[in-house]
Amino acid sequence: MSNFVSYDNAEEILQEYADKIKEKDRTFHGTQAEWSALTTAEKAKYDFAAFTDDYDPSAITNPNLLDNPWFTINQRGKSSYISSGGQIYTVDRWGMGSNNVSCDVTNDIITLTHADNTNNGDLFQRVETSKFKDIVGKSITASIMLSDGSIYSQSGIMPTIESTNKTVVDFAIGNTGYKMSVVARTSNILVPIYCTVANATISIKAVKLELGSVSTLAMDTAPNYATELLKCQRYFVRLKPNVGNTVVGIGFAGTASDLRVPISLPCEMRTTPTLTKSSASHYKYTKTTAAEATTASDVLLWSINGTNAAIRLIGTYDVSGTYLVYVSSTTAFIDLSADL
Amino acid sequence: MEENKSKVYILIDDNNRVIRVEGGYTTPADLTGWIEIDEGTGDKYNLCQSHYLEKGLMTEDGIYQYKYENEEVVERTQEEMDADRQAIPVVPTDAEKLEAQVLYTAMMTDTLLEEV
Repeated sequence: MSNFVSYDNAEEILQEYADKIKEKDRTFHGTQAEWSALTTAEKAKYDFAAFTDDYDPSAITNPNLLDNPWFTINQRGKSSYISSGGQIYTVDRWGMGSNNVSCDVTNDIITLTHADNTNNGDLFQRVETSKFKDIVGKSITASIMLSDGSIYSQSGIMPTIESTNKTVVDFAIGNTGYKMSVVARTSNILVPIYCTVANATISIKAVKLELGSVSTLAMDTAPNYATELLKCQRYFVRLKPNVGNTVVGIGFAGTASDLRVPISLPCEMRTTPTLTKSSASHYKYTKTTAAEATTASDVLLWSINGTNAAIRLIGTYDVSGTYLVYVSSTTAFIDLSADL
Repeated sequence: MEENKSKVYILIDDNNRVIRVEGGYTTPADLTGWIEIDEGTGDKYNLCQSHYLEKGLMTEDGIYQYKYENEEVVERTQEEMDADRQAIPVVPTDAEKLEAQVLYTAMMTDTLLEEV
């Protein structure tokens, strides 16, 4: 005997059960407009709704694809940067590429002043292309917030990146005489803020590059300092003492002129960095006491292996000897730049 | 919007050996004595200290690997680098210094022991 019972009206029975389930369902399945059209009594029938009366689509904010977008990380520590030719870096991740430009940093506000209009990018950030997975054909929006809170933005579609540079957005920042662009290049995405008239000035609070066709910069606040610092240190690290006579490390004399000193980095850097230093005279080495320390004649980068690095202290050593290395001044620093 | 190119500068010694290469983000403030050799964009030019010279400025034992010749930076020959190595003064180790001091003291005090 079969355990299965055959019903000719199986479809009707199933529909009946579906209707009963629907009666019990207290989830609203309509659109936001349909939800808004309901009366309070009708809304009370539902326990779950994708939309509520407090729902505000503009309250959603997208991740910012730029680093240090609120200019809070300033490892170089200056309050004013002046470009007199070539490219220099200012607050972390933001470079200057024009002559006759000054960049002042006050309370995390960047003020650019430009004596001419050479259009070379008063302030720029290069974003690694690898940050943009599957971005071709998608909308992106660039926006900028000035010190008075006003926001200017423009959206564009990310093109296929080929050998030639492609401008994705390019818009005037109010009547400041400045413009902002996003330029897709094979090596990186360039985000410049540049001057179009002589003697222009602009004060910038924040900059944003995001996916989507609407700027959500108005909903943002400055990112967490610690995580933002670490993100920036992928590109630049300043090692500096907080008091005088700070130990750098113990070095090994590989040759009679070359002491190799292991140091630790906070994170792996983007590429092999270049090293600049305050003054070699800040760096001392000794086998015994500080009183018998010798001043190094130069400090160079020796090697990088993940977060382990080594510097070379040029001096006169006993081969295979070990030496204590320290800095004698609070103004001493070693900069490791892997800036993009 | 144009993008500035970075220039590359070298410093040479009396023997035309390239002893420094800088440019881009590490351009020296005072370029007196430096020679401009190239310009371009990207890591090679912006971070030229560690990216411009293919073999690096020095060998592992601190011998300069490039020279400036006919207004070009070229690799030095193995013979040239070997000559640099041989010219490095040998610095005695601590043990050698101590041994020399003991020997000197023994000679001056006439207490040098004859080897048996």
